[in-house]
Amino acid sequence: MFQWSFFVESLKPIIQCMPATLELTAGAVLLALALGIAAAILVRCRFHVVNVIFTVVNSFLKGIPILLFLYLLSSSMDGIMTKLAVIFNFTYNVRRPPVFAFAILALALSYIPYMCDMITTAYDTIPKGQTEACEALGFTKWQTMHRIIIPQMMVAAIPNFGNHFVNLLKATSLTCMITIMEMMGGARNFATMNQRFLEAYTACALLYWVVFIAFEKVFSMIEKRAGRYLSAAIPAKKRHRRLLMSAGRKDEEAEDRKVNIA
Amino acid sequence: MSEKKTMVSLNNIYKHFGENNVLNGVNIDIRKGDVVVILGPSGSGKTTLLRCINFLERADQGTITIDNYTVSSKEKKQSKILALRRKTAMVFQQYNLFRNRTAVENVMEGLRVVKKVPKAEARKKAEAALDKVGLLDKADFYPAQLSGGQQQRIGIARALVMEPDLILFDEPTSALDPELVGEVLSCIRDVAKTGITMIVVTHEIAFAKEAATRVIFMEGGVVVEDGTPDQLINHPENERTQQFLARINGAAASA
Repeated sequence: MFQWSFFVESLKPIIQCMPATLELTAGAVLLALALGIAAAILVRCRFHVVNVIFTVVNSFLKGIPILLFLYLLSSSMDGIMTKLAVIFNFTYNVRRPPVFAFAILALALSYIPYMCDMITTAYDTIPKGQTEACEALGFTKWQTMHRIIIPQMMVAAIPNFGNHFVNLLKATSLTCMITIMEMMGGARNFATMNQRFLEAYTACALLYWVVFIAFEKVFSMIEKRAGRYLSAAIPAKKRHRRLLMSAGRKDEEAEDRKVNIA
Repeated sequence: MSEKKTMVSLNNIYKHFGENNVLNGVNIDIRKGDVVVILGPSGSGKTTLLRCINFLERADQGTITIDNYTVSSKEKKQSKILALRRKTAMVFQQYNLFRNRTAVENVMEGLRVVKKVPKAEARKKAEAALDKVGLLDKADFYPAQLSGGQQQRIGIARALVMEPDLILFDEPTSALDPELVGEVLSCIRDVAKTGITMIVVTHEIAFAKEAATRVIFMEGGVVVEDGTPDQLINHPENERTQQFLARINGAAASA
C-alpha cells in the first residue's frame, strides 16, 4: 500500500537533485537557443543550397528521439573525448567522463529545430511595414534588426519559448538513463534502495509539477509585461502622468502625489 | 532667380513585376518647394514610382536624382542607396509606426539612429514635431493605443523631424476611416505650407485642388498629363484624364 512516510522521506533526496535538473535545463536551453539562432539564419539564407541543407538537418534532428541522442552520445563519449584530448592537448580522465556536458549537448541537439522554428515563426509575424519604415529612414540592415525587428521578435517568441523551456525541463528526466542524478534519477535511486516505487515516483511527479508551475508563472508574467505595447486596452496612465510632470504642470504633480499616497 | 532649382529628377524609370510592366519610362523633374500630387487609376504605377524613389522597390532601369545626388537603379553599393534614402522620408498607407516604440520614441528613432542626435536633444525635437501635428499629449502612448488618424499624424511627425529634402506620401489617407481623413489631410496641408518638397499619391481630388502646386496624372506606367491643379482637374486636355476625373466625380456624386 501507499505509505505516506516513504512519500515524505523521498521528497528530500529528490529536492537535492533539483539543481541538477535546473542546470541541465538551463544549459540545454541556452545551447539550443544559440544553435537555433544560427540554424534560423542558415535556413533563411539567400543561398539556396545552404538553406536546403539546413532544412534537411533540422528535419533530421527533429525526427530522432531524445533518448536515442543520449545513448548515441554517451556511448561514443570516450571515443570523442580521447580524440579531442589529442587535438587540444589535454589529459582525459576516463574515470570522470563529462556525462553532464554530453547530456546537455544531446538535449540541446534535439531542441535546435524547435528553437529554429520558433525564431523563423517570430520573424514572420513581424509586419513587412516595420522593415520598410526603417529602410525609408535610411537604417542599415543591422540597425533595422537590432533596434526594431529583434525586440519585436523576442516578444512574439516568448509563448513558444516558454513551452519549449518546460518541455525541455521535463525531458531532462531522460538523462537518468545515462546515470545522471537529476530529479528522476534521485527518485529512482530512492525507490530501488527502499523498494518503494509508487511513493518515490509520486513525490517526484509532484515536485516536477511544482517546478513547472513556477516557470509557467514566470513566463506568463514576462509575456504580459513584454507584450504590453501590442495591447490597445492599457492606457499607459503612468507614462502619461510623467509627461505632464516634465511639461512643468505643478498642479498635476501635486495631484499625482495625492494619487500615489492614496 | 525666378526659376526655383530642381530638387528631384526621375529619369527614364522602368519597372516590371513578372509579366506586368508597371512603369514604362517615367520622367519627372520636381522643383524645390513643389507639392506634387500624383493621380491615377489603381494599377497605374503611382505607388511603385514612389517606392522606386527611395529604393524600397528597385527600378529595372533609370536614375534618381535628389538634391544633385544621383543614384542609378543598377547601383550595387548599399551605402549610396542609404545616402539617397536619408534625403527622403516616407509616410505610409498603413502608417508603419514602430509597434515597440511610443509615439515620441517613434519620432526620435530616426534622429537617434541615423543622425546620431543625443537622446535629450532628440526627445526635444521629437516633442516639437509632435506638437506640430497636435499630438504632444499622446507622446508616451504606443501606436496600438492610438486611432488610425493619430498614428498617421505621428507618421508625418516622424518624417518631418528628419528635415528631409523630399517627403513621399503613399496614399496617406486610404486606410483611414472616413471621419479621420480630414485631420490627416489638414495636417499634410500644414506641412505643404512650410515649403518642403512633397510628392503625394492620393485619391483625394479636393486635396489636390487646394494644396498641390502641381498635379500629375499617370496611367499605364507613364505620365499622361502634367500641370497645375486648375489645368489638370478643371480643364484636362487629355482624354484619359477626362475619363478618369469623370469616373471619380461620378462616384462622388452617386455616393
